[in-house]
Amino acid sequence: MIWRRLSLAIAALALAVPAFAQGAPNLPPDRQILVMVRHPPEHFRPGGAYGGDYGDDLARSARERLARGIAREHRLTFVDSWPMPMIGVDCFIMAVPGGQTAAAAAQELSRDAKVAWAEPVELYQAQGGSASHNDPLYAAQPAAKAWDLADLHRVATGKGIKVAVIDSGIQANHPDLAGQLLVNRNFVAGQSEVAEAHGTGVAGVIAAKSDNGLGIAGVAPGARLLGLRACWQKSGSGAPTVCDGLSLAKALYFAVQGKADVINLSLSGPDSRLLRTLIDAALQRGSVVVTAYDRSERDGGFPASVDGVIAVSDRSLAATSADVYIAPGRDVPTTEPGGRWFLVNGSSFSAAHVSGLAALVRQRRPSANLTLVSDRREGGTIDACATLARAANGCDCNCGGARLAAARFVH
Amino acid sequence: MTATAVGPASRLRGSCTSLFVAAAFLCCAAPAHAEVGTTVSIYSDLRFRGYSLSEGRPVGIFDFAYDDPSGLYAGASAIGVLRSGGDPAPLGVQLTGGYAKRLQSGTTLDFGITHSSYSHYSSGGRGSSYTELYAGIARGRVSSRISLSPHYFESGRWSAYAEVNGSISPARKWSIDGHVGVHVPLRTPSNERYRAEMDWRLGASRELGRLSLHAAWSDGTPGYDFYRGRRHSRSALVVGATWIF
Repeated sequence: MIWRRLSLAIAALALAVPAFAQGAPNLPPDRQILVMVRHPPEHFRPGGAYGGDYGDDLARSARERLARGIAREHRLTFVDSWPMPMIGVDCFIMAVPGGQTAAAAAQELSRDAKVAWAEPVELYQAQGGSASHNDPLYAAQPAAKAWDLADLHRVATGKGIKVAVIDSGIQANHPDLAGQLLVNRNFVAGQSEVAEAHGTGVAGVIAAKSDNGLGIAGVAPGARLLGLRACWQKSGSGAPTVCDGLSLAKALYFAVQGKADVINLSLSGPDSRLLRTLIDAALQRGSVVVTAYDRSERDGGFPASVDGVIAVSDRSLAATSADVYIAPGRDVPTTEPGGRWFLVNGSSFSAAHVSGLAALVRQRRPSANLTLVSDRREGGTIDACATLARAANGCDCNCGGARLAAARFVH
Repeated sequence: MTATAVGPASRLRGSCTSLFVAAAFLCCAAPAHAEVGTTVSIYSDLRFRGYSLSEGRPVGIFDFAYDDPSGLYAGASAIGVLRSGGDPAPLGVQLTGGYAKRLQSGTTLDFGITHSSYSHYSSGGRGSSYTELYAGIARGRVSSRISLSPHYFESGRWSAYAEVNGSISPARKWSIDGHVGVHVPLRTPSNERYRAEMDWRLGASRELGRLSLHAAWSDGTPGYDFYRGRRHSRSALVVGATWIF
């Protein structure tokens, strides 16, 4: 009898207590650092019989004990841990006391033999430009003409493909997005889930529903989205959308673990070893990683500068930027929070177009590397029809809509 | 002068003392990179491969784990049971040692040995033990393992056990885990024939800071469990809590 009561009490406690905030509480990112320690391989633990044996409470205890020891030694405050066995590290979040910069603390920790590396929590910025309201029409979509979108959809719609949108919050119940999201998860510590302009706009470009009599058609309306909120819109009209490195790392980890076929990162910021390691892990596992090219940064900023990542810009660049692709990104109608549509500009939305195109290609050729056909040997303006035709039937042609439709029959 | 009987329970107490001394030594002497974990748990029952080891009674468990950066690891558990009168009694100890290696692909290979010893307070009413060698493979949240014992709760009784474990995290701080195992008797001292048995478990866990709450439904087939003089269903709901420190 007593155990029945205890069972009920445990169930009530488990359900009643709200989840703790993800990661760090409301500390400003510049007061936090990420400390990476090599993660011992998972192994059998007889005592973990009820908690899912590989990776259990004992492992959590060991991680936190080590983290507290490191924090104590370096006069930091242990905040939280985030195991990342996929890349072989445990990520510890630590708060830096006043009087010391996060960069200095990270540098000091990197010299500690127990630590693989440490880095400050950097800020990243979404690469979207100003937006304005307008009447949404398919004909107004640049991709409708430049990419012959309706013809592309006769060959592929991205069906069965998962696209991770690592961005600000997405309005999952937007009439043009309802049912398109497999998950909508928030990785920003101390903030509740909220629909935001940049994330909702990027999601619409990639996977807004087609032929539903509403708004726009996404580039890959058959694809399903993993909405991973790692960025947030600052308050105020026209305020930028920013992300911190920790939230991005958590979202990227989730995307790789969730076997996303395509990962869209419409953002740019400083280089991060942790994010680079996670992007490498994604590429090794066959994901296509698409990002926005930041013209104000050398090499387009990070992660555009990472080998294997597809960097996309909304306009032509100087000849030196040879490996940057150009895709529609000016005056693009897309979904807006509140069930509305608006016009957007910027490389963020060019990257979203390419993520959608990658989903179409993946549907036709699931295991092949994404080969973009463009007007230059590497980089340049993307020929979406030729890119998909190449995936659809293996031809290496410079096709138009009619030719692509023919290719469907040949295939 | 009083003579003291050296029975299974007192041997177990000796093992427990050694275990705590070893744990304390490893905690202090562990190289800086090593990870040392300790937890204390209570469970409404101690289920093992679809059977109760504690006669359906609640248990308390102290777990200790040492993980070396080289991949070598060791672990120990001391288990106590709450008897019918409410008195605590030693139930068993488990010692584990092994080596795990993570491959470039992310897959982990795991090899080791585990020894478990139980007092006469365990189901069956007599002290017993088993030693098993195991080899496992894990990737992501799925793992499988094969164990081989040359004396499975009885000298000369060979057995093999194969299992698959998996878990998912449906929400932050929540985990749902599942387990399926097949136990195959290979050889018995009396050459009696035993059937292969299956057991499975479906559980949920919730992290609440340093506390974790667990609930699991466990079952097995064929046959019944037998303890406290009568047979019991092998289906059981087990609830528990773990405190990490």
